[in-house]
Amino acid sequence: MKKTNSTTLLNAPRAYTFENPIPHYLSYRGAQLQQIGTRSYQEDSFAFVNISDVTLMRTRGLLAVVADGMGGMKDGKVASEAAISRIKAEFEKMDVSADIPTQLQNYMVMANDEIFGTLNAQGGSTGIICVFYNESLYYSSVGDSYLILKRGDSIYHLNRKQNMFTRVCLQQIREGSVDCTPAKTHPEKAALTCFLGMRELRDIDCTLRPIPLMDGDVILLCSDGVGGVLDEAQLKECLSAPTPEQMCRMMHEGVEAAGRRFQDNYTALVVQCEY
Amino acid sequence: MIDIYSFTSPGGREYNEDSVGFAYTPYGAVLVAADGLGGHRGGDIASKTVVDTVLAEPIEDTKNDKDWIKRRLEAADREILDQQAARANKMKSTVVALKINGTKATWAHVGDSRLYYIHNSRIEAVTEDHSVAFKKYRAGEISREEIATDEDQSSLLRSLGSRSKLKPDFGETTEPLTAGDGFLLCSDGFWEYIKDQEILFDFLKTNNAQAWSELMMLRVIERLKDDSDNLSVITAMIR
Repeated sequence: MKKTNSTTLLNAPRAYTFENPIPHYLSYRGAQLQQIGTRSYQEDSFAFVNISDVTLMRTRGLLAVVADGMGGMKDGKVASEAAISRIKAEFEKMDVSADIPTQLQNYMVMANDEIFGTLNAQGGSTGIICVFYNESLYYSSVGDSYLILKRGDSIYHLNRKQNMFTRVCLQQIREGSVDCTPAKTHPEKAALTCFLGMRELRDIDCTLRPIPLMDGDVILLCSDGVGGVLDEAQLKECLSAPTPEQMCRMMHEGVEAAGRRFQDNYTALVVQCEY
Repeated sequence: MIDIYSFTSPGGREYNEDSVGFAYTPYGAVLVAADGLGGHRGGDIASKTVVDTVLAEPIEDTKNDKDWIKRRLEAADREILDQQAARANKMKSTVVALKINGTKATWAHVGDSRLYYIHNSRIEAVTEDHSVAFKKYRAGEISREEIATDEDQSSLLRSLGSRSKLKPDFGETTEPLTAGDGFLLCSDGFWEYIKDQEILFDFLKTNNAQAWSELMMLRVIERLKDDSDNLSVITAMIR
């Protein structure tokens, strides 16, 4: 398919055309939501880096990261905070001219090793790292947190959840079956097969090549306290709000309205891409 | 180097009327997917006939790949008509065939089996189904995603074995193939359960054809209904 690289001013003299288009970049607006739910502790952690600095955002990239400390395990908050601080520190050193996907995978390995070193597999965390750079999205994910893109009228799950359900489905596919009943009925289908804080992190779900971003795209990173409570139609409605702040407010109202008796901590980061 | 992987399943049906196949050549590869119609000993034979005929030796490395594919599809069409006469049935088949020859790729399709071509991290080309539902989409009556669930989705306007003049649609790459390009050939039992953008996003996560296929199948397997259609995929990655 042919692509045009020139822009013509409407009603301008024919000779008045640009050799190169005026560069116009996507800008990113972010907002976050964090609530404790019905739990006594907040085990989710998150961070934005460069969200309020347009120059750094363009030259160094924008970082958004969410970590969900694992409930039922000792020191979930310690784990998620350790993941965030390590990833932030590594992002500050990111070489934008080198391979970004490989660097994001390395951040996960470093966060994993640090948490394992501290908690010796007695605590852990999920993690989703997103870097917005050069009109593209790079991500890396461990665990079962959610990474969703709203584009046009559709919602797309970008990451693959690392849990028993996915593992059993993959076994079925590799055996030539398309029946996911064994996964649906697995007694520990929600158990994580991978998290930050393992002796050895063997599987990282990530882009190997950047996802080109488009005007109007909305990216949501959230813990399962949001992604597991609101259904796709609700998420789509929330992410269709005009601003990231309103999107977060609608997700907040949606989760509260669901009124779960045992509502997990919930955290959501939203990034809206616009020209 | 071209990395190719194929997967086919009867889905929720008793018989698999889809067939897939591929062959490497000295300069590239030929890939074929076909979705048969006509039930057991009908549709399954029709689709297998198509795949076998397209992949029959010798696969010439001609200068005109479009012409080569056209001749092979015409031969497959004749074979199906012969089978219809021999078995006294009305077996038919769709087909999507791709020939990769050096840095050039050429493809053709009949019916609603699809080819997706990914280049520069974008879906560069998708075939247009020969179906009533696709016409409705073209006319603006339904959205692209609604094609999958439209009541006329299975009403094909063209097929092999239909006794009317064979009219394949052709496509080809306009820029040289480069490492990181990908092709997906699939039957409707697959694409009905996955969105175009999901095909692209999973492609961008992988560096081999099997992993790409498996990531897409992980999405599809959760969405299949008990009586879901046969489904087939062939993924190819230029490395």
